[in-house]
Amino acid sequence: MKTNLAVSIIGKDQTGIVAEISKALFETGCNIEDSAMTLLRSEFAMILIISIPAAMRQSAVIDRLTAAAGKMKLSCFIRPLKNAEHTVEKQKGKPWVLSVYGADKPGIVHAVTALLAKQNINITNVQTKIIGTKNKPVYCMFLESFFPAKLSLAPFKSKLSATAARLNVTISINAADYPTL
Amino acid sequence: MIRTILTLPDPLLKKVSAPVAGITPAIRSLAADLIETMNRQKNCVGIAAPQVGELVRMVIIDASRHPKHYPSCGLRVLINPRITHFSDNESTGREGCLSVPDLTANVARSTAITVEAMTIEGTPYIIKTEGFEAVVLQHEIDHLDGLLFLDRVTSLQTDVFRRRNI
Repeated sequence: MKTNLAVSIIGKDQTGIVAEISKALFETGCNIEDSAMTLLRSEFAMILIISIPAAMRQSAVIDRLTAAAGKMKLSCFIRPLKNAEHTVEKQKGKPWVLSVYGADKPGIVHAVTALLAKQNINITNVQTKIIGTKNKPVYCMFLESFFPAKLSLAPFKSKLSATAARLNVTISINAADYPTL
Repeated sequence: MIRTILTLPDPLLKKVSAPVAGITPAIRSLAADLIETMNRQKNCVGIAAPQVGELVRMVIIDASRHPKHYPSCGLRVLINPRITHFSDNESTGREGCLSVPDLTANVARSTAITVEAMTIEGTPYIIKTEGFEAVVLQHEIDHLDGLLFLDRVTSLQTDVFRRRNI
């Protein structure tokens, strides 16, 4: 029976990280089922869902991956997944995109996401960017999130406005749109 | 005169602008400045008065400046513009803004709109448009209400590559 692993690898960016990690996977007969990889300043990070063929021992794959990451001085975290766990789980509720932006200061992310968590809103994608100048940095954060069906929008919007006013940032919400192009 | 473009986090960009009360010399001169400022920017297809710190309801568009030659009515000054009809159909496109340097985002806009406005001579007129020019008008008129494209982001999904400073 196939088994699956969730793998996250992060470390100082250098050429050959993806090639080295995927080599370890390919040579142990594993398949990369899904992945997200990005460079954040000097750090390159990979999140992978991999499947291990029935004939291959899980421990052998873990050893190979750990060795490959170690060779490049990368941190590696591996978690075996239960059988059903790796399948794409359909999000409950309606997707929305929140835009949060304003003069950068500590506490924006926490204040906004604590409010979302309290309303049982699940965050599925976050993109952040610092723009503006060195003296006047502007923090921008875009969150894709799923609002529970029973969430009433009007009271939630006023809570968002109160948070925005307290932080002196702008918070806008829009129903998510998935363009078919 | 070329004006300085305000950028985030300038608070004036988040204010609601006041209607133009009459076509004064100051208003004519502002329109001329906005056109000059817009034309100074490469590929810039629109500008709104609050972007230069003037909180009055005036926008300039010229969709013909886009290199893709979308159909358009060319250079227009719109005083006190009001969108009187939005099509139910929306489409998502990538937008940027002089006041939000370095970022672009996916924004859903009505594909066709009707706008009532005045010319710089004070004559009322109507623009019915669709496609790219409709997006430009909606983007610029939003500025008059303190709204930026950042307030209308509808999708993170098609962000294939993050813009990087190189």
